[in-house]
Amino acid sequence: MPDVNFYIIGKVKTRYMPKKLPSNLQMMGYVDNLEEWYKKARVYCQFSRYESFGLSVIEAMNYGCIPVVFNAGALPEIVGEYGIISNSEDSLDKDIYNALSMKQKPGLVDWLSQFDNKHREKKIIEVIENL
Amino acid sequence: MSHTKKMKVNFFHAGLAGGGGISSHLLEKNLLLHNVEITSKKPDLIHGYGNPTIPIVASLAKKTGIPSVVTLNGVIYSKSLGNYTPINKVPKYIRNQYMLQKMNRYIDCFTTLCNYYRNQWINDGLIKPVTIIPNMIDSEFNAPRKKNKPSNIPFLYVGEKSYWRDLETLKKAYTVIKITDTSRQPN
Repeated sequence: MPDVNFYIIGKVKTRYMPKKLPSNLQMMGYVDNLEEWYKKARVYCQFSRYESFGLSVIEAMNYGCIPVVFNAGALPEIVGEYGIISNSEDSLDKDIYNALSMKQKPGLVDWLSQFDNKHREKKIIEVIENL
Repeated sequence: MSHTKKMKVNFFHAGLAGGGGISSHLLEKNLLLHNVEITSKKPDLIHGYGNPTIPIVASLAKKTGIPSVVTLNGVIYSKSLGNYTPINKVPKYIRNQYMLQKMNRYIDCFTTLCNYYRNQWINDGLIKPVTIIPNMIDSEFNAPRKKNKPSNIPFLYVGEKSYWRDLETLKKAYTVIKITDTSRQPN
């Protein structure tokens, strides 16, 4: 996908990276202004093969990014209908292009409210009260 | 445990050095420490975070009769498969052997981050209540971060004390860095 710019934020072990990076991929390392990157990006990709939750996906969605994730662990549950669930490495380019042309669906704010601290607090109190 | 909002509840959190992966040696050490603490502090509730806390919480709940909750996160300790293994990669017989009997017998209820893991445990034979409580977004996340925050803390590490975090190197670094505020030098 040479027409799309990719940025990887965070530390990546060098053994997982090719020796020569394509010109449209930039490794940014750790950044102080993560919010700005979320604001700039149109699509957020997380291709974990195993994920017990995926908080950064929620953060990206909170900033309006369309998420593209693998069908693994909790990822399909947190993305819902507001992003693209990829079932295969072979379809990733198509899925990312689809995400780039996808418009934000209404109801995202309500969807994300299940991942806020008030909701979590309420659920924790329920668990304790039922003991 | 009713009227939780009005009464003060003393929690005992069975946190483990090492988070998800923990050796049997550390497990025994933590269990001893927790036994001492729980006898003196007498909490109203025992909470364990992560699958490796299950044996500790089960043991303490059995011994004391204090209500217990464990948050099941998707890693498990397994000698044969390495310290830090996604739970869906662990053979079912290992989960049954090490965990399920104690879970069903001694721990009152469980929470998970998502339905995927809740279903896995239930399919394996967990019969106790499992409530899904997702992680949350930091409500302050949208706020602009404070820049150039003055700090009088010369050295701060936030994180696990796991061996793979290599705190030994951090400690070595501490000894060679010039610290101007002598009152804050390490012991």
